[in-house]
Formats: sequence, C-alpha cells, structure tokens
Amino acid sequence: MNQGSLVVVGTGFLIAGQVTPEALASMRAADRLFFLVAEPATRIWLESQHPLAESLHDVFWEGRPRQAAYDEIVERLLAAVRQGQEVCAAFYGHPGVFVYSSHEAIRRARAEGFTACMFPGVSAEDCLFADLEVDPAADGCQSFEGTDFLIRARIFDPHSALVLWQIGALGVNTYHLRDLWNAEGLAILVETLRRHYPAEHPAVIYEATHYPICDPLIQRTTIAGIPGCRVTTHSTLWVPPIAKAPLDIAMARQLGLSL
Amino acid sequence: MRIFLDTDIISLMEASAMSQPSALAELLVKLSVDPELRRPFKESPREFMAEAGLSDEEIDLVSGGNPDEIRDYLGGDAPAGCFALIDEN
Repeated sequence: MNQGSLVVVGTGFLIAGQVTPEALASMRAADRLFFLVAEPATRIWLESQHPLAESLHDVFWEGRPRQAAYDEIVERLLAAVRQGQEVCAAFYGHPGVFVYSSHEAIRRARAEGFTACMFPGVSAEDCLFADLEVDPAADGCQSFEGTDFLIRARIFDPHSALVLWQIGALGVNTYHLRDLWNAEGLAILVETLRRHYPAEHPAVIYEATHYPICDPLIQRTTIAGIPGCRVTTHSTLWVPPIAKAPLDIAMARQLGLSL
Repeated sequence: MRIFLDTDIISLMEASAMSQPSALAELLVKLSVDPELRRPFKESPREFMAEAGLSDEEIDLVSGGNPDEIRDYLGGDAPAGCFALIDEN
C-alpha cells in the first residue's frame, strides 16, 4: 500500500452540530483538510479546526460545466494523496449522498494503491425525516435525483413516499450563481407527476436549515402548486403516498401473518 | 498524521477567534453544537445576543431570521448544493 491516504467525511447541515466524532477526529488528524460547504459559518468553523483547511469552492464559477468542477475536486484531493499526505475531504451533508467527487476520489485513490474510506454524515433526507416528522418505514420511500427521475421515466409506486432531489436544477449540468437554475423544468416535473397524482395531492418543498437560529424551510403545497413555491438548488421535494398499498393476503398468510 | 496537543487546540481556537469578522459566527457555532443553549436564546434573543458580544447590526440581522441575509453578512463564497452528476448516456 502506498503512503498517503484519503478519508471523506460529512459536516451535515448545522455548522458543527451534525459533525460526528469520527469525522471531527479525522479532520483534525489529517495532514491536509479540504472542504466544500454551503455557507460561511461552517467554513469559518472548519478553518478553526485545521491550520491547513482549504476550501474547494473556487472550482465553481458561473456557467462552468459541473463535470469539470467535480473532476477538479478529485484531482486536487488525489494530488495531495500522491504526495504522501493523509488527506481528509469534508463535504456538507452526507459525503456519499449526491456527491460525485467523493465516490470518484475514493475509487481512484484505491486504484492507485492508496488507502481510502468514507464515514457517513447527516444527509438532507435525514433532516427531512426529522423536520417533517415522517418515517420512511411507514409506507416505503423512493428517492431519485430530479433530472434522472424525468429523463429515465423512473417507474415508482405512488403508494410509497417520493423524494426528488435537486429539483431546482432540472436538466442543468452547468454551475450557476442564481438560486433556481431551471424554472421551466418545474412545470415539466409537475406535468409528469400529474400522471400519477391528482393536482391537489399534497407536496412539500423542503430545505434543511444551516443555522440553529432559523427554522427549516417547509413549504406545504400541492402538486399543481409546486411552480409557485420558492424553489432553489437546495430544495428537496417530498410527496406523501397517495393511499395505503393494497395488501397481498396470500403472501401475508404464507408468512404466517393473521390479518 | 497530525497529533494535536491541548496547546494546539487552544492556539487554533485563538487563531479562529482572531480571524473572525464577527462574534456572530462564533455564536452560531456554539448554538449549533448545544441545543440547551438555544433555549435561553429563544427566550430572550436580543439580550442573549448582546451578552455574546454581537453588534446592534448583527442582532437586527439575526432577529430578522433570514438565512440568506445571514449568509451574505458572514461573507465568503459558498457553492450551490448540486454535487451529483447526471449520467445522460
């Protein structure tokens, strides 16, 4: 095994409040700490945890293809690992959930003979379950990236809850400074959802809070009302089940359940 | 592997305190890790913030409860929240 290593961790959504002890220890023990976070108090806190903390935010600029930005992140992490350093990369939220660069960096580091691993963090979906007080176990829960959901015509069961991520960036593969990257995409999303839900079926546009002094942004609306809500690239859509799924009585009996 | 001594932690904390543009970031960090501290904050926010050393401008800012304004005030660049790549093939 070559010298140099990579540990990828998450910072959650609440500055330092959702950082796990193993993530904090990894950040502090690393030779180099790279990070990508979504608001400045977290950056300030991370810079206080490591003298060589380095933000990766400068890979993004208006109009840049996101693939190029993500690839640059991977390259920066690997360059430090190849120098024999113990590198920690911290991403906000969960580092393995909707973060291309973290998975790719680990894959490539291992392919080059370095030690690499990921520690879990608190994802937007975790915050959503807590803030909306919904349990994915109740009826099941299907989770898709918004653009992927549309362009692959994902087959899903409306009797289970539906979570769609990145609905503010539908069909957009470049980076932009504005909050909402594709307003027209929301209309297309509603049109698609209307094939499965009535216009008045409830929906929630959700944003986890980054600040302990602010509430999460929870906009309760309907499927038809989605385009009229404030939607940003941080927004996640929650659609509750349309109804309880019918029981398979024969299967229940086969399992020994008395219904 | 970096080994941290207590003095390292203290010096990091001091460096952190010195480099910050405001007491606001420090207060937000404290509130983020201590839910118990949020209770007195919620009971009398303006008093709590004044005791924490926030300026009148910062107290007004936090009282407004607008996360975008707080983010702008603290400054720095923060990327939008889309880090997943869509495979179009």
